[in-house]
Amino acid sequence: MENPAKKADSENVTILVNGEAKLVRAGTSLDELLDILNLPKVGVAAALDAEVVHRRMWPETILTEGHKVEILTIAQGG
Amino acid sequence: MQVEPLKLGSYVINNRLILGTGGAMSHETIAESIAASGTELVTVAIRRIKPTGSGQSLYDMLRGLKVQILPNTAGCFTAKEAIITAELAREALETNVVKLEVIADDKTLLPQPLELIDAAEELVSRGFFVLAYTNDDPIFGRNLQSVGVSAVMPLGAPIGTGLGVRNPHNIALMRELVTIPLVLDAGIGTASDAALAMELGCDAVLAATSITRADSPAVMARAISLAIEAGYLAHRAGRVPKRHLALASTSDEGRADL
Repeated sequence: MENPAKKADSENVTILVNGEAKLVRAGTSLDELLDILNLPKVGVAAALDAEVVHRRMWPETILTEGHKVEILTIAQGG
Repeated sequence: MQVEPLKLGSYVINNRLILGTGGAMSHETIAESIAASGTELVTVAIRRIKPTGSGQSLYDMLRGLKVQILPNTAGCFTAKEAIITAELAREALETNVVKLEVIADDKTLLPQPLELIDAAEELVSRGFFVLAYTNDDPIFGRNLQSVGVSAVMPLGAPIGTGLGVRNPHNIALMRELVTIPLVLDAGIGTASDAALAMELGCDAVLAATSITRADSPAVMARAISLAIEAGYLAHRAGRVPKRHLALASTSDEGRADL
């Protein structure tokens, strides 16, 4: 993870993760993103541009410039 | 007479209290309330993940306690939002059961019935067991049943108000019209409210604020759980009819002539 303010180039892409800009290496998968962010993989769900991405598809879902990623889990709620 | 197990979608519960976890001061408070009440089903919301640091996540804690987790769609204003939230919940928790909430605005938190029924119908078609949070309109409860939901969850009063069951007649009437499980959801303030809901024929009660924001959450959780069981038994015991004039419980037979 590098400075998100840095402009995207051929090696990196800027994506939005839970509303925050992140710069990741081009070719990074959704599965790898969770590793990079040190997030658990159970009890979580992910959406890409408002579409749910099933867990089994995470490794082959490659993040590209401008993707909006939402990574969710459970929280207290009635 | 014992409390029979209740089936809610693919879940089966032996304790008729569903604990809403919203508003709790800490995970420990939730754990204590679960232990004190004996609840087997707790509700949670779906939100953006935050790094938990060294602390245990809510997910890990609830899994460790072996309770069943019921995700909700709290905070959704449209059918579209609720549907994608339910899909995310299914993905995160590997459950097809969802408590469907579609609210109209932030001020009242009252259900938005038009969006609610659209979402319910779509989710049922996608294989969900939908437990639908709704207004206390008996006819709308029947409408929800007709689109295939697994339980109807009428409010007693708006979320977080603690005003109790404001329209007992509507709840009783809904009980007559709805044959699937009926769960009183929202508005419970204290134990007697939960007992009343059960006496009116509800199959279970969901309580969040009344427990999590009580001065002693675990004690209130126990009190409400006991009240639910009391109301369950009272409903089945067959109460006496109400009368205008007194009816002596002691016979006049053998009374002395003084």
